[in-house]
Amino acid sequence: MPAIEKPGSLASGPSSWNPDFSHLYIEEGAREYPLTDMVRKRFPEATIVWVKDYRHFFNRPGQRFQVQKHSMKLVLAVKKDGYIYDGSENAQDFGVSNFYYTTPLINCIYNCDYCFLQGMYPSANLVLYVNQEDLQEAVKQVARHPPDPKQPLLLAVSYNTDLLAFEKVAPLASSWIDATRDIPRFLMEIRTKSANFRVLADLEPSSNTILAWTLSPQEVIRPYEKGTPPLSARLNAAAKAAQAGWKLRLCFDPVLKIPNWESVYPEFINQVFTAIPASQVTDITIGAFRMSASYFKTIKRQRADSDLFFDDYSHQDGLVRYKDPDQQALVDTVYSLCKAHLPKDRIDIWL
Amino acid sequence: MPTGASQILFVTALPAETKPLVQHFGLKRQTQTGKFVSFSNAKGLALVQTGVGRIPAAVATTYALQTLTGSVQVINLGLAGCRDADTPIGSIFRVNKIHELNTGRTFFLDMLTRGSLPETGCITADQPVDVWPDTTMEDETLCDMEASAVLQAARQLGPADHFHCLKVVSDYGLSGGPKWMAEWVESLLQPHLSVLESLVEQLALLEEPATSTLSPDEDHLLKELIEYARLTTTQANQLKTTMVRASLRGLELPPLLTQTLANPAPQHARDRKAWLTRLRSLLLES
Repeated sequence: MPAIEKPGSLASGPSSWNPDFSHLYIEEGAREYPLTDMVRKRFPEATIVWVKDYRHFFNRPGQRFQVQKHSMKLVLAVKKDGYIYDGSENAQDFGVSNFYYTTPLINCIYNCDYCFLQGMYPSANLVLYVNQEDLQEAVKQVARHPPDPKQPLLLAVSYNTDLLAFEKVAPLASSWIDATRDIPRFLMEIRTKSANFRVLADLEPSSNTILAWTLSPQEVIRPYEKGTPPLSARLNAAAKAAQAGWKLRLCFDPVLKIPNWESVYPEFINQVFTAIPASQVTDITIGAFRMSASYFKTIKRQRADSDLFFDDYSHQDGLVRYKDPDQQALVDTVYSLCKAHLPKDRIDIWL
Repeated sequence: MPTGASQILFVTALPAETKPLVQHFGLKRQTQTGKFVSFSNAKGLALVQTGVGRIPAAVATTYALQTLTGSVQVINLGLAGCRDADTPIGSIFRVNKIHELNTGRTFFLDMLTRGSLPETGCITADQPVDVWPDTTMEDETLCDMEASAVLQAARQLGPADHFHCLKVVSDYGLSGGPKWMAEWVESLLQPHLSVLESLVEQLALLEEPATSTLSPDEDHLLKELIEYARLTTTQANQLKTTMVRASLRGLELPPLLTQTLANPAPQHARDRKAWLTRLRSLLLES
């Protein structure tokens, strides 16, 4: 696979930027891993830069996230600790206390305006941990002895990235699906905006995995979800997944207060359930735009190009969100629309 | 050369490294620079000649960057020793990482822009290196005496992606005995000036991310509105945020807001608050 070309936004034209993954930054300790070998073969023309510790590259001061998005690099590293984390307060846990997330991959090939990763990480480059087996073993250990044995263990595996969108580079989603297939009382969410379901099409659906598509009206995708597939392509992929027998979650998150949102969202929800029969949807999550205040502040400094960061927000308890009644109205509207298709107990709301 | 968003600052160590650049880019010696040897032209190119070693390099780069305004792309160009005797003398490399021998720190460069030059890592040492240290990684094939310092100075005063480093192989270690004649140094750099020119053109054209989304007219209007209504700092910030949002959504602000200035200004704090609320609603709903 050649390095990934993408359109540029330069006065001098797209050819001024290096393609994505033009360079592979490889930790010395990651040299002998099969995943390292696989990625090197995928990008035979990439320049290899050897690093002693990937953090020396990834955590450099003075990096500019949005500038680096023009030419993302791929780091291959060994994750030494932090294989599994307690679920974030800002993500849906479906009322499950055994909620965890893990980070097989850091950062995302997409560039959504509202993405918290811009505020979380100093770099837009992607870090692929080559010792996936260590992460998977850590998950299995926690699953064997969950804090609340009466509840299933819920794992978000695509929380700081989009695994499915990256599957052509490294088959992480497939690997995690297979590794967790037989864990009792376990559910793993792979959340995505990708239209790339065909990379999983040959896999036997796993009852331990739920494929979760983040869906937005095209009026949101066009200005705020740069580089992502259009709604029609995502719907097509999600429909195929459901038809193939996968558990399917639809994520209407974040709901944004765009112009004419009151008419845009009903039309959008109608479009969704025309493409995907409600009977094939396992559940739905809904959340209006919200972000940790510290991430918001960091991102606003570097996103003078996005009106999203100049709205009239409430800043309370370390969280930035729309002011009420807007926040409530956005969620209520989408919730009411979804209720017409799915029972209430299969709709999870984040205010 | 096209006019771009960034100025370019060349950083060289030796007079013989400076001379080909001065001639090729038509740079003129600056006279108000005290002990610092610097040059510039009217097209946004500048050069500072630092002298040999890390401390002179850091000091002179810092000085030069302080004298320039706006966005500056720094290009460190110079000669370097090479550990690989099969690499021909005169070969040019774009440096992608710099290992500072004295501190053990490694600095990485953002390799964002496309280029045809081969890449490698460079070590920066305080003394000429004859025997390559064990701590050096396999892709660190060059050795100079300034690069890590120029990089650190540039990063103190600008973003990480604004530093670039090109090195031309001059020798394989001092014991090999290069002929450090000025003409010889110039002859090593001369063949690469066209490559350098391409890089300069490429960097000068890179658009910088927007730092303020209000146009000069809109910014002027904002100031007028703040003065007109005697807004507090908080109120002024609220108005600016709302104007930026409206502007990003494509609203023509001047026609809408200039009308406001024709009305009597609010006199009391309560009136000001109500005036601002109305104005922001107008912008948010438009």
